[in-house]
Amino acid sequence: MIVFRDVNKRYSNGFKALVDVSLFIPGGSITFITGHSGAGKSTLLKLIALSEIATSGQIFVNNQDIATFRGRRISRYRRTIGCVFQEHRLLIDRTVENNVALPLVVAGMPIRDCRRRVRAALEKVDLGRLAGSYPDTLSVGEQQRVGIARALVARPDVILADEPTGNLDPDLAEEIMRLFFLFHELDTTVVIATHDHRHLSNPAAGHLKLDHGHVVEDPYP
Amino acid sequence: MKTRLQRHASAAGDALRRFARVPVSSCLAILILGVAISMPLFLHKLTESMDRVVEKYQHGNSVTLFLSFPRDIMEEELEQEIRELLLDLLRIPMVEDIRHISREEAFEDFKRTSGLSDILDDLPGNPLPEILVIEPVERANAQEMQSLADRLGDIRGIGSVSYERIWRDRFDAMADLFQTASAAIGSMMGLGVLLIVGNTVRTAVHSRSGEIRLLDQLGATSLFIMRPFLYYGAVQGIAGALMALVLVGVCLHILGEPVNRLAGLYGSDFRIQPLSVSLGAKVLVMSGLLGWSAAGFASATYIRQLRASVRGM
Repeated sequence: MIVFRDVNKRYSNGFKALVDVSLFIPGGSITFITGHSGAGKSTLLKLIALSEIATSGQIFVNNQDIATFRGRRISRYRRTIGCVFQEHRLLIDRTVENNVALPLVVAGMPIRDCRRRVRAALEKVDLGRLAGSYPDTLSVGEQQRVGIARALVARPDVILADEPTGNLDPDLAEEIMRLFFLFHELDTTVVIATHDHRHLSNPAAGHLKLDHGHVVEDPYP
Repeated sequence: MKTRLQRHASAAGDALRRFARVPVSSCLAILILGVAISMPLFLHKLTESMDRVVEKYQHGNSVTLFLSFPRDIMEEELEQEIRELLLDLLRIPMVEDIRHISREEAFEDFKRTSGLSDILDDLPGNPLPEILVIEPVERANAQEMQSLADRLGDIRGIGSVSYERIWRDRFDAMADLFQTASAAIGSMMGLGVLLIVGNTVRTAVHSRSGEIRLLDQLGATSLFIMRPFLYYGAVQGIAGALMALVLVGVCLHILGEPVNRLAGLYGSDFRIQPLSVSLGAKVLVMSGLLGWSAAGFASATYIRQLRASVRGM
């Protein structure tokens, strides 16, 4: 469950990315955030991921006020969040398997358990055969799926995806979205910022629309 | 525990791979570190060698007594007086041994060593006094020796006391100077190692900023992110120290024989001491710790700045 209460985010250059945003995203739901460029979609995800901090207001994730987190508590919190970025952010000097294992290694999981979980995650995104490959030998779609496997491997409470299908052709985008709906079925809260309106018609998903930092369409009023 | 060890092993392996990835710049950095560390190390070896010479002079320091008995004293009476004086002096705890040099022995010795035998033969008589040379006990320090010399001057029959400290003082001063210079250059070396390793690690950290951002986002603690860089710094410090040990070892080997020959010509047993295993181990540990600290400072600063800039945007 994610709750925003009167959240404002203003950047140092004076740009107001979010203005008095109050919203509620239920646990285990899948929610699409749409809006024009600069509407505040990515900012909203960054605030949930604690990559940035709100200028004012409160943000609760699973009933915890994340703005009060400091030091190691931030690190612990981030381990419960899986992030998928538009640019995949894979480490090119590590194999697919080692890239996917990163969240588990960071969490201190023993290597033997890591391998088992990584293989399972790669199988979910149908990349088991490429575990030993390096990211620069993969196609864009495969790289994005590796990024998704990395986000899900630690079984996070929340998955945040920022334009995950931005660089993909329609068929590949469809396949990636299918994966997100799969997580949703596993009771993970999934929040996706996207320009792609084709998936909004899915009745299982909520649609939150932003315009110039304001919520203009709220699926869970 | 096993997982923790695996993490450390992985970080250490990562540090070594980083060296292998940029062999030229890594070798250059190690060479610079080696030269920086070798300077004070070399000076330290010289100081250590000098200390041994000073120590020898401290223990082999004698006091010379010139006796003042009347010239016309009968020979038997003189012998009796000297015998009594010797017995009195041997009762002093600091006196280890006493050597008696008669006027005749002293005169013959002087003629032989001065090269003035013709002139000395023309003298109407032997002007030299009877001499006693006191060898003090080994543990006697400079202050005790000076008070012994003062005390001997007050004893009847002793005309003057010669306790020549000037050479020992010069040696002491020189050894002090070397020690101070060694400490000062050593401190500068420490700072140099910190700066060199710090700068190399800073460059490595910047070149992996994407990875650091990702790890931070995945929930890695600062220590987790810093660990490979800490090992990188420590490995650099240790490799630099190894280079310094090789450089100094070669220098000492090259200089050893000419210095020993020169010292021998001046009747000195000054010898440049070779590098010891314990000194080598100390240098390796110290440099490793300095490298570790520098890497810790550089990486922690970067991570702090990165987090502040990302979160404060």
